[in-house]
Amino acid sequence: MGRLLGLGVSVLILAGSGCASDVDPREALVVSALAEADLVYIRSRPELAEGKYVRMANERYAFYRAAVPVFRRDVDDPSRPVGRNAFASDALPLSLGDAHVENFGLLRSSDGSFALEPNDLDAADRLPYHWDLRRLTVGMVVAARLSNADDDAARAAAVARIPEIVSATARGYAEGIRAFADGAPRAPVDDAGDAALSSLVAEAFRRGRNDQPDGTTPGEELDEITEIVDGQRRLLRGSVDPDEPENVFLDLPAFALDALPEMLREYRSSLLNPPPAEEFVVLDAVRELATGIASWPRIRMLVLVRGPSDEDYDDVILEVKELADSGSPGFRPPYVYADTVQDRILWATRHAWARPDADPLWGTSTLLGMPVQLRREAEMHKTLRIARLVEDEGTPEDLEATGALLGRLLARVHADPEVDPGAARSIADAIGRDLEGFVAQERDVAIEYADGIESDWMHFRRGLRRLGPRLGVPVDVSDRDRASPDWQALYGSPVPPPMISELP
Amino acid sequence: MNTSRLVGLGVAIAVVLLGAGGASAQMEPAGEPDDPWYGTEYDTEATEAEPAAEPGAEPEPGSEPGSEPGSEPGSEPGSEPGSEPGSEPGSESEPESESESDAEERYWRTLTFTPGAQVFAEYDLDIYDEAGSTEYFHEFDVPRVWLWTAFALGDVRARLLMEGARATGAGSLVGVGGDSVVVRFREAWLGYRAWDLFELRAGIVPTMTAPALGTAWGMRPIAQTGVRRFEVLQPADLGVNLTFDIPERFGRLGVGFYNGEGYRGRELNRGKNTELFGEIHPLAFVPELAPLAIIGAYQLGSSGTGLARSDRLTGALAWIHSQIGAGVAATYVLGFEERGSQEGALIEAWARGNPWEGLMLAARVNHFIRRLDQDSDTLTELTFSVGYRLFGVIGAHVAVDGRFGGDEALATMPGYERWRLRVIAEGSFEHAFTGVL
Repeated sequence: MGRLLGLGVSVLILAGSGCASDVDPREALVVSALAEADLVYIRSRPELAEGKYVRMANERYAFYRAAVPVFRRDVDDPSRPVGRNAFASDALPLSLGDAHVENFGLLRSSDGSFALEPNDLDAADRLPYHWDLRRLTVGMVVAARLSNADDDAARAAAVARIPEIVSATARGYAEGIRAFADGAPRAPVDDAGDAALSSLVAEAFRRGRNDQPDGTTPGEELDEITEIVDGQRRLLRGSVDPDEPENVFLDLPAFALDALPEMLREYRSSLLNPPPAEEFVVLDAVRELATGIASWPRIRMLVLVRGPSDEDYDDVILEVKELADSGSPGFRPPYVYADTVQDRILWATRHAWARPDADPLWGTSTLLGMPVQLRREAEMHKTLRIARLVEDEGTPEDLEATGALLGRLLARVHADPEVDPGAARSIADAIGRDLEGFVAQERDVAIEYADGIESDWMHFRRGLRRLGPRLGVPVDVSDRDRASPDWQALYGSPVPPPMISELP
Repeated sequence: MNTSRLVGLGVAIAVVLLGAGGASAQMEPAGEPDDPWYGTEYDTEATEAEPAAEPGAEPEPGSEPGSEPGSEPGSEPGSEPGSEPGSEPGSESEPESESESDAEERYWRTLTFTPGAQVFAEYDLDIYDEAGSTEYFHEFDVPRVWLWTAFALGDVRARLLMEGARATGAGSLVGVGGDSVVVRFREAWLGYRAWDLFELRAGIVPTMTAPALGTAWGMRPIAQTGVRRFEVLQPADLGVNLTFDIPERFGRLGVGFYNGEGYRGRELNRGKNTELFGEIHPLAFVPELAPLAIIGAYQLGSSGTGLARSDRLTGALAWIHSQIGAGVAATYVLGFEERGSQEGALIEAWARGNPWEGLMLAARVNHFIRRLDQDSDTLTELTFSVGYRLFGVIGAHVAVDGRFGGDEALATMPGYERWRLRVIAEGSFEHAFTGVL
């Protein structure tokens, strides 16, 4: 009996000692949400995941870009302002999943026309409308705060107008969803119509047109990342951007090269109007490391294909990117809205864009059993960049115009009647006649949440230091987590990431 | 007291204490729909000095292994390997001519092997509103596919339980073979039972609290318990637990230490879950009142690599009997889904009855207040069912479910509210084979 008593006391003492946790609850949430979302990458390719986390620790904006899992937790939490919505709708429209500023850009369609469209659909799915809208409005706050990097006065002016910038974004969305609910055509955003473009967007159109191939000279991207060797065009190797030393091109392992023709055959069948198969003869291919932010650890490749002729000026570069699930929890039966990840991406492109062939070479395929997306790597496909928010493109007025434009574009995505014929009406009715109340709500929510990003970033930095470069996920690369030699070769050996910088 | 049992208990205590040494944190991973139950079900009609174990019930001291040809549909895999594989050496049932050493040798060479299977098959019809119109969705589903084998050799116990599960999670498209139903282990443990009072298990073991609430409910084919439905507690995990059956059927006490990830996840941190559990039948000395049970449990832990707090305090009052059951349970949730500062409460109540032959009636309500500091962050689920069980092996039920949410919860979970009609078939088969090696 004495032993039993001793055992009981020991258990109670040990149990009591087990509950002590002095970790800040917010820090625990931030690191756990990110680790959980990246678990498969941390285990299978830890060095790549580490590179992503160092980047997030060193750059506030990179943290915001890659902190979608944290945002998803927060927008699903009614105790936080970002999780509450007095204008809630039960509609589940087609959503981009990560509708921040830099996930919009120019695409050139099959008839040569340019349009501003969402250009990152990795997380697209059917989600509550305000998830997308708030990712955009918070992104506009972040954009204003990071604008005019070398001009303190201009940046201060933009920051002072953040309430107006966010309000314009929310109003653009609300007015847009009302108009589409009333039957307004889902027209493309281009520079040919009457739509007032911000300087940022108008400049993107101008630069996009300048950089498009004219049929006789190589596109800008061929000049930048390829070279002619022995009369044959090939992709560069090694570091290609002095400002991004981790971004390197590596040789593809032979087994992956062998798999490319089959991947391209399937890819071609996913296109609406596939070019002749001869255009997809592989000329060269590389593994690209350390690009993107949220998708940093995913496998990316560049494949140089023949293009319309044997001439080297019309060769085409295709970017191959590993796909994953959208991260949606699934809300209504059947809880998923596509049969495969590839189908989800194709479905999103065909419905999110004003015309389904906004990028005629945007398709999907399978590589070595892995779902992948292929799209044309082209300098003419200009993405809206925070770094370009300077001078005329970084004024408060232009930020407002950009926000309004993107808000309306997002409304157009949500209003696709083929995805949900009642979605636009349901959202418009939820917003109702109190448009200004809606705008005020979204303004306050976005600014409050953006304020919290700064502290979340600090939490992340502290958590990364506390838990280590893999955010505390135990990885046994010498044994059960060891990838096969083939997959290790495909993952590649990244350039060691820099140290986590000290903040002033 | 023989030496081998002393050694066994010593090892048990050492393992428990070693397991406790790392008890500083835990994980509360996300979700899975099934749960087992292993709690004691008290049947007043069978209770006398030596009550028979209900099929699918927790091992009872002195109960015969595999005495039922088929376990009750919807119950836990039956005759626990913890049941005595043979009578005690030197007990009254031993042949007088058999020496004590022969009896002990025979005891340690008697193997009981108990295979079993359990399947729930459903037709579901969901009716819900979407963007102003009423929609429906219907499907066939198999919420449970279980196969198990249990072994008992002397005081040693073991069980392997495999279950079918979808290869993908909610909202996910990336799975194994598309979204196939794949097989995984839900239990894989080795145990030692000492003095017919203590039982130590190690491996992928069933936890104690969630299974006990499942047993009290007793109608798993109809609905999960609230703690499982909302992923508040895990039904099984990798670790060890030690239980003590209070003599005279007064209940059971237990302590467990687990990884905390549940049986579907690998360990993510150095911390371990601690579970303290007690199920008391305070009136067990009155056979008619023996089914009255008080359950109390505390789970101490954390979740995620970030070590967010994830503690649970559970209390329940229940009547646990094969013919009729009712109860109410409350779980205080400290930390949920890696939000360490979140405090909520889960209240569940249920009633079931077998008023005439195989006729089964059941109802339950789960009310989850996800945040105590929010007025309408609540999820409520109601279930009513009527069914019939035939020969204690198969059964069929019709169930109606309603789901309702508070305004704040619905703002984050569009599509949650719905009505569901289900037609459920259940079957459970188990048989014990005993032989001397």
